[in-house]
Amino acid sequence: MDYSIQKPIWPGSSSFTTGSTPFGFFDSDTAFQSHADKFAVAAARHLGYPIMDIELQAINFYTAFESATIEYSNQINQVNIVNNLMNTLGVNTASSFLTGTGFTGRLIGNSFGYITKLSKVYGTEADSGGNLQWQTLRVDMVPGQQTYSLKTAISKSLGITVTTSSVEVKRVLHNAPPAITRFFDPFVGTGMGSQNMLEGFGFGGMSPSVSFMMMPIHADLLRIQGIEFNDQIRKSAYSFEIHGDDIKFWPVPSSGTGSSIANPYFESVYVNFIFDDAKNNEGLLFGNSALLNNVVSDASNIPYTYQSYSKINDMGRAWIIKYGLASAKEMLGQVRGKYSSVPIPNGEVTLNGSDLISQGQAEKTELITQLREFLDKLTKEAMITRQNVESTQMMEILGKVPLKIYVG
Amino acid sequence: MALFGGVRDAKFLASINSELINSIIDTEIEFFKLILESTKSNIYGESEAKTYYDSILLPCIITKEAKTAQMDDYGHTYTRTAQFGLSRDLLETANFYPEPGDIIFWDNEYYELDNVESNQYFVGKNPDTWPNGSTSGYSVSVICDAHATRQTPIGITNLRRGGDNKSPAYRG
Repeated sequence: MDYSIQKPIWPGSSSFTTGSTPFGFFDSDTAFQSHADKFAVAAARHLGYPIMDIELQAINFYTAFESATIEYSNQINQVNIVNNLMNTLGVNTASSFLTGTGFTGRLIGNSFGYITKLSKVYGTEADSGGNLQWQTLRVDMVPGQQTYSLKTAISKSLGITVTTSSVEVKRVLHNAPPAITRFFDPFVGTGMGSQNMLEGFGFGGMSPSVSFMMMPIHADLLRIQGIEFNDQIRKSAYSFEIHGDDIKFWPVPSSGTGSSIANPYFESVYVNFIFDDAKNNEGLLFGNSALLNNVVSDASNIPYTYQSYSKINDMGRAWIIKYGLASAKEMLGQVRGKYSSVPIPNGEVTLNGSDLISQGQAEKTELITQLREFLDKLTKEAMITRQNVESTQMMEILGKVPLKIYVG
Repeated sequence: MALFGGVRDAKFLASINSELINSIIDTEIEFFKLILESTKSNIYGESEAKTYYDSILLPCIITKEAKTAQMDDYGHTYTRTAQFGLSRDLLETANFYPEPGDIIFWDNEYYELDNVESNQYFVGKNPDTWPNGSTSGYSVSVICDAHATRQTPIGITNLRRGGDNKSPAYRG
């Protein structure tokens, strides 16, 4: 076998063709095509060519170049995701404006969508809106029976069978008749001693429709409060207790007509509630099942693709070249380090594989650290903070500008 | 097929060897091949006048031992042994194989080959003889054991004087 044929060493030049890289993410980019061959030359020379043979071939250099571009895009997109995920949660990824490169290279504005959705959840709890529909059940009173089953009432009211699903009672509409229904209109001048007062002023004997007395509103409130206190202290209160599925009402339902205050009558009680399952779904879907599929939900599906190499600026390309060189160095180290010693005529020689690997890895780590530190300064949070510092400093500087003294 | 020591690895070793011997170590010996057919011998198999081909230059790795002084009835002299490690690839390219009796000139001394051996194999396999084919292993070298001759062997023409000492060198 002629071992001199197709020696695995860099021949000195290359010619990039589409399909030369493992993934081909950038193969159709003319700038990438052009730079791939130049990178191969640069990397080989950095590694010692032509003084030394470089046991790599063009595809190895292309691979290093592609992986460096991927890494750069990855780092950029990580910051993009940190900046924009909250503003794009729920965006339909099948939207026509997202076809192709998605958010890559596009400016994403701010949105209160997420915060609004969040506030709706609070609204559900606070009974001030929200996504969740409140259900209503009706408990039909049976004279003398205080305790009723909620599930039975739900089944009867909604026509469904409730088995394991639990409910959360939001409101029990079981209150004493409002005091206002037992409050006489003070304007008519009757009741509560008003007539005596009118008599004292010489206004007695007038027709109610023509005798009016101005009363402050707090007088009405005091009277209403007096009625309510009276009901609360001297009478059986309208109340309830819930234990598991049972709801117990006070006072004991009677069969009267409600005319007797001492023996009140109420035919039915309404209860507002929500199903726990619905509440859980609200947490998952913000109450909107349309948000379940084909939408931006997390960092894994926010539509950021690899950056277009031709649109990466020179600073970015410089990083890519450096990272690619480090990758090529590590790659060469892997080649030279496969065998700890290489036989030569009448002896052995140890190659610099381990040195190249450690150098390449250290350079890559350093480059990524450097890039991350740089990109971390470019998050929206960091930029707003810096802008705040800048404006504060500017105010301080402007405060030191001498004011003009007006001379009239 | 063995997992290690395949053709790709062998080619890698060949390139390392080639670079090391030709570009880094870069020591060349002048090799005189004995023409056995033109060398007359007596009834004891001895020859007073040997004939050699014109020399060629071969890069190799040399292990030169120290001199050993000798004092006998014929006066003072010395002996020295040396090992010349030649790349087997290079010899194949040159279509050349050293044999005992050949002469090597290096460092102003002539060495006569005593023994030639080729048993340095990568991953222990000789691709020419391995029963599972030639796709594994690699025969690295041909090692020539030699001793310094007492005088310039008869019939050798020194090509190094006044000419291009790189021709006809063989480089891998």
